[in-house]
Amino acid sequence: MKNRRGLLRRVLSGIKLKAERKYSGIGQPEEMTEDFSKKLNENIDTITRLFHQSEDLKIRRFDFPAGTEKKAGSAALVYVDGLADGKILSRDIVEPLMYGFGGEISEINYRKVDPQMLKSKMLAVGDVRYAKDFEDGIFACLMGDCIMFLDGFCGCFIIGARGYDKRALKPSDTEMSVRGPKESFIENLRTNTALVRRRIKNTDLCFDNMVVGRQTRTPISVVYMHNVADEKLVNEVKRRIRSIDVDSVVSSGYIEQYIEDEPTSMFSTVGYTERPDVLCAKLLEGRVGIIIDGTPYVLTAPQFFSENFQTAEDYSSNFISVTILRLLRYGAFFVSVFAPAIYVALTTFHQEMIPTSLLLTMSAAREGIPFSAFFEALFMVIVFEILKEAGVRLPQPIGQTISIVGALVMGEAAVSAGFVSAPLVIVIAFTAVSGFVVSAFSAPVLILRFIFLFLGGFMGGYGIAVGALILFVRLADLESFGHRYMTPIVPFNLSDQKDTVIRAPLWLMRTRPHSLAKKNRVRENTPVPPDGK
Amino acid sequence: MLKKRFILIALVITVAITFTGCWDQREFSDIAVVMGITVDVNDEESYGKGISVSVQVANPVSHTSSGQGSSQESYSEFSDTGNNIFEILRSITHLSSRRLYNSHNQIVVFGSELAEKQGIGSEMDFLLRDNEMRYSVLLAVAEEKASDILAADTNYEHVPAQELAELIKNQAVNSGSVECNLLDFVLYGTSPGSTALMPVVKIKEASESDNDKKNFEVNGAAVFNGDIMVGKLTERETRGALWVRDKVERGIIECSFEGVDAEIEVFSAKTFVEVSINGAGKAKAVVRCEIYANIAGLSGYEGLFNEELEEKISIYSGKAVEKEIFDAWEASKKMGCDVFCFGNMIYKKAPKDWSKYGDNWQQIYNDMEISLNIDINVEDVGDLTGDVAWKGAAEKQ
Repeated sequence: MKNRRGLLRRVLSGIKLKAERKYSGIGQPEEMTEDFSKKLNENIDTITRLFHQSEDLKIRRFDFPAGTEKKAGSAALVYVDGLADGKILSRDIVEPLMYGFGGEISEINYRKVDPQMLKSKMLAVGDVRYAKDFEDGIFACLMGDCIMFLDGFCGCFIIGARGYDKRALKPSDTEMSVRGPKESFIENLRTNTALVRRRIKNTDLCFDNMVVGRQTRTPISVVYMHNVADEKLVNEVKRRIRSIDVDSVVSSGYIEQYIEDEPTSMFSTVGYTERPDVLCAKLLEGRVGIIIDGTPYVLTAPQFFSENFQTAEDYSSNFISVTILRLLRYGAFFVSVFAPAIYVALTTFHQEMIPTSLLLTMSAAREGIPFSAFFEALFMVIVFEILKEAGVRLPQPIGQTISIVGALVMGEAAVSAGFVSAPLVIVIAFTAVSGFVVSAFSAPVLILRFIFLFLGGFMGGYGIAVGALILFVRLADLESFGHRYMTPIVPFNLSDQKDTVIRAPLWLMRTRPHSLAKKNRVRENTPVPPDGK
Repeated sequence: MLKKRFILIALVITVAITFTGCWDQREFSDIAVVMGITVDVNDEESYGKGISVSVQVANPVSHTSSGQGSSQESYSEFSDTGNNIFEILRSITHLSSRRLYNSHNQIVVFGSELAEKQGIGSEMDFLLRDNEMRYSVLLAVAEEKASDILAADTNYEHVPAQELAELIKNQAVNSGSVECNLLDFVLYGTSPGSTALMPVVKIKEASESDNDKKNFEVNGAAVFNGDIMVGKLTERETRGALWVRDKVERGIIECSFEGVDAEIEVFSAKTFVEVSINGAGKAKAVVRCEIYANIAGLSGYEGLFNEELEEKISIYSGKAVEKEIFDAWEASKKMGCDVFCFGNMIYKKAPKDWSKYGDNWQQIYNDMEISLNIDINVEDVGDLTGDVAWKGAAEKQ
């Protein structure tokens, strides 16, 4: 595709090719060769065989009155227990057929069952269709629908009866908001698409469905605004998803790793969000969303560097305070990456850069510390990461223990025992807190923090400067779905700066981001400033 | 193509990392932070060597209130004798386990004997050449021996050198002394027709109540012709020189007339000087001072503050300023140098004239005509608009 591919990537793609050769053919579902039969029993036998007599496959056979000829028609409902809604099955399918419409059925000759008749007159369910083939029927069954075979009918109905348990809509845990909407996505794909549709009541909102994963067969929905998103972008996203050939897709992170432009980069070039309102805003900017069944996180592409510094709250609050907060976030990002490195560089290379009284205080604090400043800082950064990692997945009550132990050991005992100096504890604490401000960047920040700590410890401020230069070049070189990762800073676009480092008033952001939306650019036409009278 | 690029990048990184000077990693525990240096003539006959230098080093002692009240001294001192500062500082490695680190040096104090007799040229050479020494390090002259100065007791800071530096920086409040750093001194000392001024420091004699506490006192200025100290200006004379050099920031001017005592506080002053020299070799300087001041004290005047009074205060305080300037002129005539830097103005404005008269400048300076135009504007009278009329004041008189 591009000849700019990195060395690492070429090596990795080599590994991938070998892996494919080795495992090709393994894990694929059996080719479906079965076909429908006119006989009910044969159909049922086939389906039980295909499910290997699995316990959760339920088959409900029943007869319904055949009227004057006194001959019962017979049918079978096949569904997966727990996926289909039993109420729909009994109330809307079995009951009408067995009792409700006896009078009408009496005129039908069951030797020649008319499925069209059944569909239009007797099944009191919203979604009823014919299965295209046996596989279609089976897949519907696996998705939670119910299929119905009729004796004497070569084929089956798919009846929409999905009724599996799903989580209730809850406020997002990871992207909290004070003033914005509280709803967040859940694991169910259909609920998620509905959440989006409810916010954008527009025929231009498109969902394109596909299925990924040989074994898991996970439904995926690519969502975009037909009148805004660039067609090339949409097609590229679809192409990349289609080219994924894997066993399983368990969460959105799986898809993300396969469709990234630079899989080896520590910066993620695909975004994700848990909030329908954020997704809608991104769609309306011309981005493409990827909703994956089974994950409450929806991927968005392309992803830019500056998006990590935007929050949902930004657009519901006053633009001046948001701008200040944005600047703080950029500052916190800088601190969380560079603070330990700069501390070490200053204390071991550039003592002349520290104000005299601060120098005296710091050197007094470091007096008697057995380690060099670099090892001291490295130790503390590692200890902090261990504490963080230990605390993340622990149940709440034990998590508190960790934080108490951490605070006591790190903050108090280590200092009073003379293992680490108090100024360093302050620096590490500041670094750690800053790291949480831009939470989307926590992974790259951690890596960069270590890299810069080593550079600062071995080469001082010069090392940090060289490292920063390489980092910036690398960032400017990254791409995300045909766009520069640093857009709109590199390449620079003045108009798009309104929502990058600063956040201009909404009524000034009259156009969609230039880099994304190729058509339908203007998004508002209110007077500036809005008179509001 | 890719391989070539890879090699190129690797080369650039290697060169960038290895060919730089950032190699001297040192921990806090490797360095002794020098806070002040004093230089004196070595008067110990037995050595027979040129100078004696003592270095004040800040000890890494915690001064936080929660600390266990460490008994350790806040600073330590090392001294040695030798021919030049560098040699002595190096020989201090025999005395100090940590390497002396000069970047945070606050002040260098020269003994007046050294400054008057030998000049401080060779010492300045080291201070300017050494890469750790900052050009912003302050300089001062001790009235007697410099090494005594840094032994003074401190009031606010923990290290005497630091307190002395703060004290000198604070001189702008009344402009009775000067602030002079390394760079200033070199610029004045090397420019034709200029004179460098350095603050004079002494230990104030202890009064009975002070429990023999030795305090610094910064007062007046030492005048340097090149690198040799030629004399001292008093507090008033120093300010006289500073008015013309346009270095006065703030200060108090006192004046009394017709039974009225007034003090005004200068909050802004700007001086414009024009120096010219005529064909006969007679120089003339026109000095115009624009001074903005507030009334700081007023007594002996009955009635409200008015324009007449304002004008009188302007005139009489202007006279006080004139006197300071003329005193400075007289003092500098005796020392044989140009404290106003008039020569330098001619050198800059008319280099040809300077090359003609420069050799004879001191004579011309002594005979020159200085016309002063002191313009004092009283801007504010403070919260009182007149004198406070106390009951029974008339009877007392």
